[in-house]
Amino acid sequence: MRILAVGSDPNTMVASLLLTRKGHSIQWLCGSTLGGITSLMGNAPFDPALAVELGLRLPEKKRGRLGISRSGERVHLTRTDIRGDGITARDQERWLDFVKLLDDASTIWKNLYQEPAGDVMSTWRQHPRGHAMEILRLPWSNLRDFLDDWFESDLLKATLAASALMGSRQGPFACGTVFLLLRRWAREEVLAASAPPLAALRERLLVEKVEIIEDSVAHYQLENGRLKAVQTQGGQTLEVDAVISGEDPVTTLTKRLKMREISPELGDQLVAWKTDSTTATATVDRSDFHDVGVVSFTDTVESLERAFDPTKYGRGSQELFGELETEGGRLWLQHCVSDQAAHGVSNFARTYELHEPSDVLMPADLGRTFGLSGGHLFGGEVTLWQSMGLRDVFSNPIPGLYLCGAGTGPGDYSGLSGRLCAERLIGETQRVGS
Amino acid sequence: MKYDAIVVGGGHNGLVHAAYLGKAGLKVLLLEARSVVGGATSTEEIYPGFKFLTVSYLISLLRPQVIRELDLPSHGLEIMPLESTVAPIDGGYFADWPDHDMTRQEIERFSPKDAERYDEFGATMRRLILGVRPIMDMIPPDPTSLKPEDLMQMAKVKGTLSRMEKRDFHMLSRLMTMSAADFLDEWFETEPLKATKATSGVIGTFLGVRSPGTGYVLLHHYLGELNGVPRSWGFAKGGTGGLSQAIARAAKANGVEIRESSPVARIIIKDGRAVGVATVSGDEFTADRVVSAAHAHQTFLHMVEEKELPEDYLRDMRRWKTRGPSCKVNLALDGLPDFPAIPKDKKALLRGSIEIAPSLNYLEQAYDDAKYGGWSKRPFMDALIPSLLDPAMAPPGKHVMSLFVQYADYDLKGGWTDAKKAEFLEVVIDTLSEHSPDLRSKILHKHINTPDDLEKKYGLSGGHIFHGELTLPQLFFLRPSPQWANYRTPIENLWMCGSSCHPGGCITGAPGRNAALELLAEMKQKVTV
Repeated sequence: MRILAVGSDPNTMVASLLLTRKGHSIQWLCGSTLGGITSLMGNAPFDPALAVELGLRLPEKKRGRLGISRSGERVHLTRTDIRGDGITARDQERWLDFVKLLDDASTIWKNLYQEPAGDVMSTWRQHPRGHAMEILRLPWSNLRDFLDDWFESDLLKATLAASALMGSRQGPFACGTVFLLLRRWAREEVLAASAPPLAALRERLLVEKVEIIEDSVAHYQLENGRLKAVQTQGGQTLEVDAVISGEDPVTTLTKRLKMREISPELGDQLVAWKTDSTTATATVDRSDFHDVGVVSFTDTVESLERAFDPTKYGRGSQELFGELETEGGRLWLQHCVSDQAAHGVSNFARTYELHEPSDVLMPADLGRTFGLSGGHLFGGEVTLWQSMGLRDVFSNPIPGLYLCGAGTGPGDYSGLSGRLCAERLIGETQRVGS
Repeated sequence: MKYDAIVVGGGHNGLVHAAYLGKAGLKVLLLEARSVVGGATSTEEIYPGFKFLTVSYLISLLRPQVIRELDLPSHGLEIMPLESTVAPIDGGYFADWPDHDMTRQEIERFSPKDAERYDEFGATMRRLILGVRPIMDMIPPDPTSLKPEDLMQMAKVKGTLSRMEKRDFHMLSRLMTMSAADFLDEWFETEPLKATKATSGVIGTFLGVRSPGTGYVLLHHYLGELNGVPRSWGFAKGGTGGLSQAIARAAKANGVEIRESSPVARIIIKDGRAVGVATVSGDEFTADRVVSAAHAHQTFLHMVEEKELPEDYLRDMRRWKTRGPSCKVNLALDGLPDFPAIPKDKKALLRGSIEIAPSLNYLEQAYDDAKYGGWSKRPFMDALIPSLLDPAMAPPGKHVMSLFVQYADYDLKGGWTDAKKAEFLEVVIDTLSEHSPDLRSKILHKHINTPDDLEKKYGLSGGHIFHGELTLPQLFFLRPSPQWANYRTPIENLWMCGSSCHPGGCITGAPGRNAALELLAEMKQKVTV
């Protein structure tokens, strides 16, 4: 089959790789920046099991998270230990149990994308009853109550909550926000940082003799409701049997297709799809923090809710919180609205005694630069109601077109949604073949 | 004298439960702390001649089986359907009727597109309700258990949900986890339509209309029906106290002994089994089993000694989320207040609910004002003039007004002093006066129950009207604690039948009935064995 791959984020590269290994020939519209938005990310871990399967060597993880408050208090979190200002003996005593709960819940969450549902259920049932129930209630809970039930230290709770809420447009008082912690925990982003293996994936694709076309997609052409050809920005028309695309659902369905070409049901779902992001990014000098992977700048769980409040009314927040990846010096900030002047970012830097950030990209800038609808880093909010089966709705919007980006599957750049996409396409060709 | 069962607490669930046990021939004693039964379903004459609805005020979710099986109409229950809901808005009003077509016409005034969508919305909600409603009457299983009865119940739940169309199941999954406002935004553009609908998502719940989790609460309030009309609300003659009096009469007719003014101090436990109760005044009563209709916190943190409870159960009770945001205000009025936004030929709308909920942002701001230990500067309110429906609620020519008010934090910064109470009461009256300028001049008496009062007077811990938040980690087999959602407790012969159990609050009668059926089934089984 002639398959065209659109985009160069890890998921698209994984899907392409798996499909070439099945004997399909891939043409790759790789776009201008390798990795797209993930080229900025210093903490977008690749799925370790998938890396083994593909024979990829992953970059070394940088471990540990630091939490820093406005008044300069610090807490230091690793998988085995927590210490720092305000951490009580009880907090320390409970930490390993907390890590175990999140680890076990993470396994279940990841298995949802790797195993049949029945196996997931039996893995869950293997846990002692009380523990199983804790796992079950976890995703639906709100961060404030959940963390209050576990810990005493304000900064510890805020650091965990802030790490959960980065990239999301939610406050910690709302139901389902522990799910946000869980999904980052499952990727090992909370207590460590690792950059996506972009160069390594590209190298693999070159080895597999994928045909690179240095151009990007303009729109898709249909025949009898099925994808037939791809029109590029450079004016080429490429006839194909199928397309796999890492672009987000809204961009795909509104810019690459015409509304009348998709089903009304999908149109309704698209209108409901939440993509408006309040995440901004900048670079900052990070020489003070060489011994940890990530740093959270936050205060209390309540301050995270206060930071979120004005955004509900379309206003920018006066109390940003943020996360710094120490390896590349990239700072991510929440909650910025696009018309908010860069002085919000400067204020943030002053509050936390950081050097003046440079290369500030507001959500609208991110949207323009990387073709992200709503400027969203993950193709749409990864909330409970846009996850699992409810995130699959856009994975195959029209026959012949398969989405593989973070807007599908688990909603990240771990490569798992790339694999799901490849499996779906392979499954379908086999069905058609037989 | 030994009873077959003692029921602790004479709120509506305790009464329903006792009536079912009595009907099955058990010798039942019900102990109520206050001087009248009813608990949070009471009508009280706080000011001479005026009947106040001091906590609850409307009925919808009451299971029709309870009405039928206890034959409540013949015990004096008379429910009048609520005719309308009206929201005064800038320069006008928005009205909503139980009748679909009337509401559709009203929406047409604002948006023809919404009017069209309203048909599909109504049909979708009806299908979701039909899918979910059977779960209200189920005994929640323990999903980790492989016992045949649990597996059977799980299969029943699965069966119920799998009868839904895939599309509806998707919709349900989303509604269960998202916010009421987001859900309604997907359907409609008319702000007052969305706002009046969204209020159902936050009633009694300390979340904002934009907080994920309120979608379920919205659905919960849609689960009701009245005389076969789905999601309609009604007013019981004599107020909600009229309902509890009718259930009490049914219980007595079934031989239940009811003792008022008998607060229970502790549940007597011997060798891990409940054997009776001791009242505050020192009386002791023995029974084969004790059933608590009281809030989980009242039962397990006050009436049972810590040492009797397993550690994990105690932890679940302690972390039970029950911080309430609701107040209840009652006004004795010298005459009918005017709402100038409602035209003269539409004054019949005053016979329904009057909702102060002009927009989603208004509601969300009310939440934001209160959630850090404060109260709404301009609260959301659901007002009712009961004396228009039942003239006996006030002296001739006079009126009473019942106001359900949100938000005011149970954990108010500085605590709920008398001065704070009075201050918030003025905030409520000021806000309502914006819509009814002559209201103040008509007030003869005003009364407020804050979350703090709801706890102190009615045993609603945390002032929570549903005995604990109706959020997913506190629903179905997690309510009030996993493994113990089947109305049993870790203490043998101690049962639960209040709103801390499935399916939660809002005058359903379901916990009381479900617990009774489960208890009777177990007794029967034991006899057969």
